[in-house]
This record gives sequence, C-alpha cells and structure tokens, in this order.
Amino acid sequence: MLSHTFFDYAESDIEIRSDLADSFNVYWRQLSAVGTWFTASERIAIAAESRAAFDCSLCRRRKNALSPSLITGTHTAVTDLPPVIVEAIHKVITDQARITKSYVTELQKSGLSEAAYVELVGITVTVFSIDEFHRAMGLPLETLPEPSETLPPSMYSPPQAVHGTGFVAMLPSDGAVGHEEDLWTNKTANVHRALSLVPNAVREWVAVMKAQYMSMTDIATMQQKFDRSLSRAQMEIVAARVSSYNDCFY
Amino acid sequence: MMLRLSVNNDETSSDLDLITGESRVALRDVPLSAELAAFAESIAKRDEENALSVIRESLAAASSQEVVVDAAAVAANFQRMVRIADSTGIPLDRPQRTFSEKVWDELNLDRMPRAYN
Repeated sequence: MLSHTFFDYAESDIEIRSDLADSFNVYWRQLSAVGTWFTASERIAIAAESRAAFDCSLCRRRKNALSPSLITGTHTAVTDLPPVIVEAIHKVITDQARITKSYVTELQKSGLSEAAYVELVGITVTVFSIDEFHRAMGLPLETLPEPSETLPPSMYSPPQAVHGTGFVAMLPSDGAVGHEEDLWTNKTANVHRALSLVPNAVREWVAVMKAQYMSMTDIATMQQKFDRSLSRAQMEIVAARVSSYNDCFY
Repeated sequence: MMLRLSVNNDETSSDLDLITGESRVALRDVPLSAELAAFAESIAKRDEENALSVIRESLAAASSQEVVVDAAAVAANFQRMVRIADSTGIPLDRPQRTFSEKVWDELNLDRMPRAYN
C-alpha cells in the first residue's frame, strides 16, 4: 500500500474535482504494484521514461525527420530499462503516429513481447494523461510512487485474445467473458479492446477516463448523464481538436 | 467523429475547420467553442507554461475555473486516447466508418498515412 496520499490539491489555488484526485490516486496505487508482464519497479521506471520522453534529443531529431529510422543515436534515458523498452516508451509519447505493425513486430525480435508492449503502452499513456492534466492546469507533476510489491509478474494472458484487428492481439468485441467479463458488456469499440491483451491495462485507463472524460456507457449513449460544467458538444470540441492536432483519425 | 454525433444529437451545428485549426471562428451553437479549441490546441502542441497560461486564463475569464478543469481533463484524456489508437493500430469501427465518410473528406484524412489501416 502507498504510505501517503498523492494528488492532494488542497494546497493549490485551484479547486479540482475530487473524482479526478481519487482516480489518479487509485492509478498511482496500481502503478506501484506488480503488473502482468513487469515488476512494480519496472512499471514505475516505465512511468519515469514516459515523463522523460519529450526531453530526449534523439526523439526530437526523429520527430522532425522525414525518415525517423535513418536517425541513429541513443535515447536520453532516465532509468536503467533496456534500450528496446526505452525506445518504445519514447516513441509512444513523441512519435506515435508513425508506429507501424512492422515496428511492433521488430520489438518482439528485440525481446519485447507483444503482451509486454501492450502493458508498456498502458502505463506510458495513462501516466502521460495524468501528467498532461497537471501541465494543462499549471500544476507540478506528482511524485512517482515507490514500488509496493516485490512479487514476480503474473504473466496472465486471456485465452480468447486474437489477432486481426490492429498491431497486437486483443479480445474479440464479444470476448469479454470469463475472467474478463467485467471489461465491457456485449460488444464494444476497437479503442476499448486495444489493450485487452493485458486486461488490467484496460481496467486502469478506463477508470482514469471516467473521471477525465466520461464512462464508456455515457460515450455510447450520446447523452449527458454526468455532472460536468461542459456540455457534451463542448467536450467533443476539446477532444476533436486534440485528436486532430495529433493526426489521429480515430 | 464523436463531435459530429454529439452536435447532431443536440441539433447544433459543427464546423470542422475549427477542429482542424483552419479557422478560429466560434461555432454558432456551441458556447466557448473557440476558447475551448484554443486551449485544447495549446495543450496538444505542448506550449510552454507562459503561453499555455495565457490561453488558460483567457478561457477562465470567459467562463469559470470549473470549465478550465473539465476542459483540461478532457484534453489530457485524449492525449492518451490518440496514443492508444496509434500504438495499437486499431481501425475505425464499422458503424463509425460508415458514418464518417463525409467527415473523413471534410477533415482531409487521406493526407495521413495511418488513415489507410
């Protein structure tokens, strides 16, 4: 268990919704625990590299290059994670639009399994989204937690995961059954399925999304049954402008 | 895509130029649309705090601190969502793809290599 509370906004001049602080605290607790393919220490190291990616000079040069693979060098790492893992984390943060199926396949040849890549993506982007909220509000980034467990990863793999939708295996739309029956009801969208090769990765980011945006149920119904100062249309303007700037067509 | 669904659901209009950054003109039926789009863009562009704070305070002056918090949270959420989609190469869902053909053209999405997934 974490020894103290994170995301205590009481000292700040800004009133932050308590459900945001609560969801971030829950995620920090999950981050500090052992994962499916990474130890607790490795998960926190992935979080640290997620924060460091934009300060990496190699990533900056690659982002500006027409052919990033031609730009060689060493990433500016802040952890002792293997280079292949640092490379993947930094790319997810700084140049995600140029990730391809062949890139993910090459990662496997370099020792990063498909399932481990999925967990890595989940940690990298969930920490990033919490950090981005702080940056957007002009708040300092929260201190990363210390590892709370020394257990080995569970290496759990849902048997119903299949290839055919994206770069990685995922549960079929109607595959939230058995140990994964809590992930969604009936069928769901591809983005909800995307990280389901590691079911806990889905559970973790969906809980943060519910506070930052809305629940999957509210998204599907196109109704505003949640308590926000923004209308649904206003929220979608923010969402669409961020997605458009990032060249995300999804 | 969700914007078009959302505004149609509310019987309001949508102008995708504001979304693509081609225009700064506010949407007729969506209050604060220009300010919200500017704040979202500043976050996505990862403006330095001195630039971001100006836009944040402008939005707060036009609305409230609660609006700024909610907008920051949505923007942060989509900084994550775009990376989940791109990192895993997921295609558009079938109903979304059918609906989105016109929006696809309006946003000129064919310019993006990843749009062919």
